[in-house]
Amino acid sequence: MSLFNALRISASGLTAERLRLDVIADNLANVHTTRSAAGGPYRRKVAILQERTEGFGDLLSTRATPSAGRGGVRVVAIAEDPTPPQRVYQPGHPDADAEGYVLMPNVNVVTEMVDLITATRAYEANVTAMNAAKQMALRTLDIGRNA
Amino acid sequence: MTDKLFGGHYPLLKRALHACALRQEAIAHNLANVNTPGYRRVDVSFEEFLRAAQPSSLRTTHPRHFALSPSPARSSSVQPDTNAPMRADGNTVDIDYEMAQLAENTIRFQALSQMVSGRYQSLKLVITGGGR
Repeated sequence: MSLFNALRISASGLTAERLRLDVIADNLANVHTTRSAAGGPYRRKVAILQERTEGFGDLLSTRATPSAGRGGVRVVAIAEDPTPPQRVYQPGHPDADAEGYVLMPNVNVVTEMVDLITATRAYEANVTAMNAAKQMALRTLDIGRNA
Repeated sequence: MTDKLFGGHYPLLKRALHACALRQEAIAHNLANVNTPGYRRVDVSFEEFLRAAQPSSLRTTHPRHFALSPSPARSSSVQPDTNAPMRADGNTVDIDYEMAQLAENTIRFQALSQMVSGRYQSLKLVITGGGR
């Protein structure tokens, strides 16, 4: 049933975008974190999205009924941004080195805010698509209702 | 008998509804991948769908009518788009275009389902002899 597939695809988009929002929130929360579990300052994290291609079950249903055979999107990894940390001159900071520089996270607030907006808009677009699919599915239930 | 009752427009409308559902899936897939780098948008090809929607019983009655091509076995197909990318990361999804497609597809689906309902209603009218 194509319309339920459309709902699942939109749901995968919602999940991926919400995870992106979580990662962005994590980055913003740790914008001044100088100590991390791995040692050194916090490293900016990036959610890596990948188009989800069909699994075996999807392949089976594609053979049974002609379908788009597409599975939406998925987050394959949450990777660390490889750019070096910023060096900020703060001699009074307990984590400052001998020259008075503190290694600050490689988080740029402006970049995060832009990512936040794109993630929010993409989330909204997926909600709209999901509502449309739901409306269409409900409409099919009305076929022959008052016939 | 059943061919007369459920033939004609029913298979056509069924195919059209299915194509709409398939297109909905394609649009949802494009929107889900709006932030996937390098993703190329997919589309349900309308021309093929239109050709498939022509039943084999349609004939030209005048030599100057347009010739109808034979309908292919598949009713609609999903194809990746070959347009230039929208963004630097190679993604070809234009979110405004997708939203417009989504609105159009929903309305088309509603119109088609209303037509199916209408045909069932006329069928019922015939069965009950038009009276109560």
